[in-house]
Amino acid sequence: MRFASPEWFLLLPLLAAAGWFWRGMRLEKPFRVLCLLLLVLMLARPQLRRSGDGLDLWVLVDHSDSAKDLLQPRLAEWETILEKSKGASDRLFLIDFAAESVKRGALIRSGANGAEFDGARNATRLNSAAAFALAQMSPDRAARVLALTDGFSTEPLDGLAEKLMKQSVPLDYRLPPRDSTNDYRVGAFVLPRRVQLREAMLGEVVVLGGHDASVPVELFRNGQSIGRREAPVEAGVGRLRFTDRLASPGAYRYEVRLIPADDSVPGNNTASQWTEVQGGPRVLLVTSYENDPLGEALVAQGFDVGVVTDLSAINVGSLSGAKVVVLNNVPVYKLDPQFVWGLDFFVNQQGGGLAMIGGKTSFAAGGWFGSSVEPLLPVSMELKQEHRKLAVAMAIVMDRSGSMSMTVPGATLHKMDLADEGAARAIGLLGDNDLISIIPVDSAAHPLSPLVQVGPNRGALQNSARRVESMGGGIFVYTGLKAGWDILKPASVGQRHIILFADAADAEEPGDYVKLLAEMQKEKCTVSVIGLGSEKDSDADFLKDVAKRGGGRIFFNADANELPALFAQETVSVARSAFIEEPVELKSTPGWLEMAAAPMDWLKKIDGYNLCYLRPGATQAAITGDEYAAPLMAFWQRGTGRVATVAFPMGGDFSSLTRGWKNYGGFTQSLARWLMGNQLPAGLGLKTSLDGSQLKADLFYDESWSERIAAHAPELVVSSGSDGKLRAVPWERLAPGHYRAVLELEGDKYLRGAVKIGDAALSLGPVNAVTNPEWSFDRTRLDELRDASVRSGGAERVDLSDVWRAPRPPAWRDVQRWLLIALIVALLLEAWQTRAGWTWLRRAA
Amino acid sequence: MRLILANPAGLWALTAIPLVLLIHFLQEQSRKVRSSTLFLLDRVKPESVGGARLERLRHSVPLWLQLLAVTIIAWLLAEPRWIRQDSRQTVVVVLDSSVSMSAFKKETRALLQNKLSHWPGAAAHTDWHLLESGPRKPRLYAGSETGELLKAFDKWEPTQGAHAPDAALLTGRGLVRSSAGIVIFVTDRKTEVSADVALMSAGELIENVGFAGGEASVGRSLRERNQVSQDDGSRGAPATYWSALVKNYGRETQEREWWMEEEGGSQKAEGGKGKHKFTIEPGQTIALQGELPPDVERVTLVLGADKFTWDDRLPLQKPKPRIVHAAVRAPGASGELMKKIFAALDGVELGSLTPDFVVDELGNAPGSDAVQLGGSLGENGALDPAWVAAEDHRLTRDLAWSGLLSGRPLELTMGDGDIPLLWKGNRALALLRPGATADGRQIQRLILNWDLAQSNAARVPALPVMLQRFVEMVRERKAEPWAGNFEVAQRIEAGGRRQEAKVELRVNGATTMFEGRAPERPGFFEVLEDDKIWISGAAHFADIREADFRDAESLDTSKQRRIETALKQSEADPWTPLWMLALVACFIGAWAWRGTRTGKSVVSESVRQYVKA
Repeated sequence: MRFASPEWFLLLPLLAAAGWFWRGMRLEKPFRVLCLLLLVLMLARPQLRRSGDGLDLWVLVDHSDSAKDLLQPRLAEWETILEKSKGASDRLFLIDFAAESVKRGALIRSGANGAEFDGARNATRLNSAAAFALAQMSPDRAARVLALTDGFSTEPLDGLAEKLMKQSVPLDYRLPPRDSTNDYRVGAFVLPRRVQLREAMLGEVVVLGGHDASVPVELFRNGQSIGRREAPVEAGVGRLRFTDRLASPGAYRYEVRLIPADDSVPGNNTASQWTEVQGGPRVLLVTSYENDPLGEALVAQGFDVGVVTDLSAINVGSLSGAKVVVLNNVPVYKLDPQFVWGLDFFVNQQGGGLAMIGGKTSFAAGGWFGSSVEPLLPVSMELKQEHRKLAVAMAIVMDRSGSMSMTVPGATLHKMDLADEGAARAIGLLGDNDLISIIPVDSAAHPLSPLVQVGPNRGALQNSARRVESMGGGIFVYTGLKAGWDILKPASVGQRHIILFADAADAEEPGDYVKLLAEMQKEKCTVSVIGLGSEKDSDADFLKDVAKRGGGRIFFNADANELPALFAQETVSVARSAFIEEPVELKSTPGWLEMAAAPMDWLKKIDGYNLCYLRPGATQAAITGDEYAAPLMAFWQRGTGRVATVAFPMGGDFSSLTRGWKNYGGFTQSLARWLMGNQLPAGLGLKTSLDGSQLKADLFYDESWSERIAAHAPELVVSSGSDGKLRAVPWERLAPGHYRAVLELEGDKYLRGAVKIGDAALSLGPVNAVTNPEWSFDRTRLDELRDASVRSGGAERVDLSDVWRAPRPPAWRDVQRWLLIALIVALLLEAWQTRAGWTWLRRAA
Repeated sequence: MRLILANPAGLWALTAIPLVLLIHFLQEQSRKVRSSTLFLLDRVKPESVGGARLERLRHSVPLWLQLLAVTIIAWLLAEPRWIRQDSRQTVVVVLDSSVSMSAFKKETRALLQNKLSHWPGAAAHTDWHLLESGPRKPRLYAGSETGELLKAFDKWEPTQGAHAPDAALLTGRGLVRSSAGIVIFVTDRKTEVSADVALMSAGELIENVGFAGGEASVGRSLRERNQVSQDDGSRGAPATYWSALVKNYGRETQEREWWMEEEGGSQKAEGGKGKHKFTIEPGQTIALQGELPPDVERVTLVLGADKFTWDDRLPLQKPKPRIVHAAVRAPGASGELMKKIFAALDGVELGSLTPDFVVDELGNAPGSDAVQLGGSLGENGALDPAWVAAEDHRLTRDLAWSGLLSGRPLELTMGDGDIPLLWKGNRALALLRPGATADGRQIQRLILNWDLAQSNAARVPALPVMLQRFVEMVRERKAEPWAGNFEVAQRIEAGGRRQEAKVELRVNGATTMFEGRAPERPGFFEVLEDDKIWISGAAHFADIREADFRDAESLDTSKQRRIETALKQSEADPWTPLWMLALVACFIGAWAWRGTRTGKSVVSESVRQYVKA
């Protein structure tokens, strides 16, 4: 505590003297003393310490692609200046950021000197980095943030100033100078947004550059090169035109790359755009069977069918032009996550139809539990407790290496937090009789507990799982597997399984894993792998081999947000899914008549099925004749689309009875027709065009739609990227039969949309900003940075040492309010005592 | 100097005043006085009735001093702050230009008058800006007077359809940037805005029923529309028929009346006559149809009024379309094909002696707009396998040309103004060529650079669509008078006017410059070219999103921001130490007064004198 005006304490002796001299005032009475003391205190202005004298400086160092070449040569010098000019009680913290943020000093990779930034660099998330810093600040110390960046954040800085002001943290910044005289870049990349099937289209690339030259340009379509030419740049501008024709419907991603010999800013040499090929309503059959009888039946019934057997070729663009998607016995982990994410929007907003057909790698056994598709289905995949026949002993071997200390892009959560949540979710999904052990691993295994029964320990286990922290280094895989097997070996249960979770770029110590896994396989213990990263990472092949030898599945996912769902999927597919391999009777129900006009002559028996349960609100057309009475065929409406499930295989193993069914074709036709929904009446058209980063959507309709539009005004709903967040976009009515919406394409995310009029829907997209936003150098972001800095009380720091001398937030706070409240209470008590004469002490008579 | 209270809750301390008064109602403790003898004891007036706890309130100096002390404490607790004399703030008010705001203009004015009046207290100087959210709208006011701002508001009319206010809010934020202040978006419902923008709304639910669109067309009989055949086999006589949609946007069933008011000589329908009652359920849309009275050019359909009046009147104009006259001069099969295509298009008449456009062979100089047919290289019927690729142009956009099979096009020299439309290989298959007639009139030539007879053009749907689009281009440039029905603020193509002509918009007798759009308010209008009527029209409201008030609600999020802004612009009361010293004085004074009263000995004057002696 301190006193701002201690000189007022001189009043005390004066008041004492007055009290002694003028005894009649009775100043010695306790409440009067209290009142006077309070008054003198108030005059002296006592203050309590709010924060320490020292300053915590949080330096955000930009490692993104657009900034690293500018900042790298200067970083060492700047950091030295800051280190040398700080005061004794000041502290310096460094946060490296680009798409993700991590505190300097966290050991990210075991073999990379620990301090190298190893996150994604294709974005500059300054707002997230600042939030990351704010979340770690100590409340009892003054703090400032200093951003060393090129200023061109790829995410908006909305709300940053408010966050800084709320915590009284000023934001300073230092921008490096940029030289762009010798830079060639893609000025424009123009392609038609939509073309007809086999229609030739014209595209144009505009190249801008500081010097006249012939600039080599290469063109790609869906990642494959389709040509290379030279664009002559004269007076700063060069143009290149090309034609192309597309022979199958869907959306195609074109990319153009400049390859000049000498370029000061190489990052702005690429641009990409989607072009959609229109066709009639199409069925997209994604199947794991090479010659799928379902595809043949659909074609025979007159449907336009696109069959995809190469599951790695599927992407979100495949949904364009498709009216129905059929997933025939495909596991989720073999599909592009963007495609899987896109199915929800495809059905709910764009009016698409979705069917899931049974098999040994379908439904929960295919990992669909916990996926974004699961809520769409009219059945629940998770096996009920009373139906489970086998207990499971499971060990979760978790990577807690340095890479897990990085933040998730766009958030302040660490990847370890999400992995912990995944483990906790897995525990939540296991049955009471199942056994579990969680084993965090870095260079040694650190089991949280021995193998214990889940039932009585569920809460405690989940709490322990959520507290696992990243400790640095890499994960020793053999050590982890060995520890898991040692724990599971004595368990005498029906199933033993290890889930190995590891960083696909930092999984070390293979050891004698081949022998170990062979031993485990012999003892019927399986191993699945969840790899954080991609198949292209350095240790991905090793992890794939572990999964293969372990008889389990492997999932690669670069998005740490998906971890909880992946853990859940894997747990359910191991512990809570069932494919019944025995022939069972099929019983029809009247529900079929909601789908088709005429009754169906069903087959009497099926060879096997995926056990699932009907969801409330869904309709079932056929059920099993066994004790489960499980829905073999179920369907319902979802948003503007329709979803159906057929829980028995229609191809491959366990389908011989089904394939021999005489109504196989008729059933397929009815199913596909129902999923197609009502055809969109003519008279409605949607046209989109790109103007830089602005997308214009024009909706045209003729007079036959007037009444429908009057009843339901058209809505435009868009979904950006894979996070699936929906946003409504307002239309402007330009003329009778013409609405227009304009929207900005943000960042590097693609955008998909749906125009809804009542229960009819038109789809739009995918479409993305033409040039990489990391290189678009949007001046608005620089203005936003400056504004946030000024509003928070910061400034641009040309002399970095200045930052330590900048005004600091007040470290002291007044307590006047409390003293005044105490004074008023004292006054009342004093008046009452004086008036009524009560006292706490009795005088001796 | 202006004052604000940083902690108005501190005024609750004034509740101590009745407590002080209550204390002074209490009977004072009786004073014990020691005296050795009874006779020295003065007779004193009894001051209280023995045995009672309460007595009447007596005025006393300590009472008033204590009350004063409580008042000063309350004042200090309320933390008065004085606005700095050099403080400045910018308040930007962005009005939602959506037409739905017209239903709440009075309420919005009252809201603004009430809420904005508090803002000048937050700084010594306030810069006011009044903008509106509609694109193409100028600033309404900039200055330092709230009264002038409100006057500008009174003159403002919201006339836009649904739109995003982002651009105006961004402008507003730019005005406030790096100075104290706020952007306030004034609308009639809850809207998503960024964190630094405050919302104000005076909206409320309205049970609105209104017209949701309408049209008038000539020559289609009701029977044709309803597909009912007549007994005598004859067709209905040409007439002008109208149809309109009425929608109930509210949550309750409504009863309304509609009637027709005529213009062009006939009197308005008298009250009660020709009124039609109907009942409409919530969310329901009903269609009305009828026939315009003969010799009547304009009528207005009227609904019984409610709070939102924009959709209660539907003006309808008898349409007079522009017919495009064409002459096909090209010989042979190609010419026959062109005749067939143009004869099938709406609004085109063939065989005119003064055509608006001609169809002829390439090489003949046309005196008007033209479609010119070229030939192909190659021997009889030899087709060129090169792809047909289309440019992104109004005439060719979104059409499928891949099915067009033709011979190799002639090599044409492209002029500076030539616009290529279709390519076959590296040769232009179709292009648009501007030109001029001998008398200087600008014309357009659509050149189809292949032999139509030697191609499958007759079976390619894209060709007639392209030709129809070309006809529309010709129609837009026609100068003859015409009439039609439009939506408010709809763009009107006026390509046919002369460059040097004076073109004006006349609405209700008042003329303004014509800006290429229908009026912003429903009603009848004319577009005049050199004071002659060129376009007669009726503009009606049709943006149904603006007529739906189910989400309208009142709100105000600006209050807290005002307090925060004021605090930043103020300084603590410099007289605080003086108030505290005054408190000391009050306390000392009260105690001293009591001390003087009670300290006085009750020994009588006579005893004092005795002791003196």
